[in-house]
Amino acid sequence: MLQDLLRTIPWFMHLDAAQLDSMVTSMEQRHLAAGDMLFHHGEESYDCFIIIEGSVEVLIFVNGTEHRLEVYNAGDIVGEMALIDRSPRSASVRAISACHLVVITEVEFKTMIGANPELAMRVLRNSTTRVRNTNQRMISDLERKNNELLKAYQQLKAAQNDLIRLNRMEQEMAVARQIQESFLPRQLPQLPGWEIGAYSRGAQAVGGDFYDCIELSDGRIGLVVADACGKGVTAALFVALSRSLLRAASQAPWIFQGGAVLDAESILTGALWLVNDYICREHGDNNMFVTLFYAVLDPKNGDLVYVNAGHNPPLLLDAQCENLYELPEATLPIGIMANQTFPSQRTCVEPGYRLILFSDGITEAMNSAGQPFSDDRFHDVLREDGYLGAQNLVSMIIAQVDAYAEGAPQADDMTLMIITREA
Amino acid sequence: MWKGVSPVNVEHIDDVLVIALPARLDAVGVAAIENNLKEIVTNHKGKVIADMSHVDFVASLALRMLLTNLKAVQPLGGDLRLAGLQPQIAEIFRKSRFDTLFKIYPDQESALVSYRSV
Repeated sequence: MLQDLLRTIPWFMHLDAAQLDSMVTSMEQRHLAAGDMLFHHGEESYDCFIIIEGSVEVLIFVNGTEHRLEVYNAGDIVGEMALIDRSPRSASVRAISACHLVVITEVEFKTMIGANPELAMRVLRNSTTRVRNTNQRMISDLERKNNELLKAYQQLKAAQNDLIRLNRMEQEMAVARQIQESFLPRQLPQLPGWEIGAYSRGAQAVGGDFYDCIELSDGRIGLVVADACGKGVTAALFVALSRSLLRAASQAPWIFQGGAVLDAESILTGALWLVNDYICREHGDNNMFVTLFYAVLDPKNGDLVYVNAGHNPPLLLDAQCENLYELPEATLPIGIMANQTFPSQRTCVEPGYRLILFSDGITEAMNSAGQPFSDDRFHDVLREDGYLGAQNLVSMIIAQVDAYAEGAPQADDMTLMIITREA
Repeated sequence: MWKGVSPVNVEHIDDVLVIALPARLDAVGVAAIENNLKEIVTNHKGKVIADMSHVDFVASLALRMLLTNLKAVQPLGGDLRLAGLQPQIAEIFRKSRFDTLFKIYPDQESALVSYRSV
């Protein structure tokens, strides 16, 4: 008998026999299997339920994920909120196990509460606890989300600062690069009977290589190829320093004035002594050095007086493009030993000959397998394409090096200067 | 004596500190050992040999690193001598004339002998 069953449940204990009988006559019953839904969130139904047997769970779905809010067992009331405030269901209810429930309409609910004010209190207490729990859950949830947001915001802000810093650095590097480009000759000298071609490329935004063509007295020309130790900004600062010093020392008024034309040896040894001594004295603690080839060419007769301060020996290619000669003799690089002398050497660029100045970034350009372009390949290209004009020969060599490297990232700066004399 | 974790291989033979340098002394290779090496050499103050028999690549920064260490020990009466340069490395020392800054020996043994004969 349902009446006997209901009598064991506090909700019905205080009803008199007539009230209970009349209720049971019209009372609907529900049987659910485990997993069956009692009602769904948002549903507009306003009955509530009392569980006679079994248990149900109250569920909500957030972003497609199921969250269990409560579990109710035999004797508990479920769904009374919609009954009280006539609102759609605020959550879904699903049977955990096989369930037997009775349906309580608004009329029956009022009867039950009327019969026992204690029940009204109990409903209120239930609702209040539920609101409190929900509030607590919402607050904890908000606090957690707030913390997450704060953390994400801090990370975003740090990333944005990094980005701004990086951006500023890139802008500065772009300016530095422009300034460094202005350290290369704006245009190469045009000498009758001669052609000069040159190229320089940094492995990074700014580089440690440079070349220069310095106008000297009596139509002579100073030819420079240099490679500062290291690369990037540190090397670039040293390039700026040594290039400026060398130019200033080479073009000092005393070289142009004073009647007698200063001989090439004096220009070279004087300028290099000054540059080396200055760098050793002022910047010696850094142990930075610059390898540098500096030659004075007299275009009138091809006389070449040079000092090689620890740089790759330049090459001379004969008129038949058959034989290559390394220019002998070198001294220590610039910046290592103060008060050093730089004895000059002398040779001649004969008609039809080519002088090739370069940095080791050319011969040590790596392919993706880590193999260098090598002296041998460099010499082969020179013998094969040596008949080209200076600028074309420079372009050809760079194209060959690039084809060999196949886009592999380069560790070193590349500089090449070629001077050809008409046959 | 050096007791910390060292990225360079260090050995004491009598009063000589022998350092075995790694294969690639490019910018990255130098950065990895530079500070450690300077500390070891400066603390030792005396006779040092850099065994370069494993080194197959040197960038200019590696020459600078060796020069820095040479300049660190020389004023204290010590020296940094090089041993076992592979042909392409010897060529770089020849072209840059760094061969005039250092005493260079074919192998570690002859470098050790050079210190004993002083």
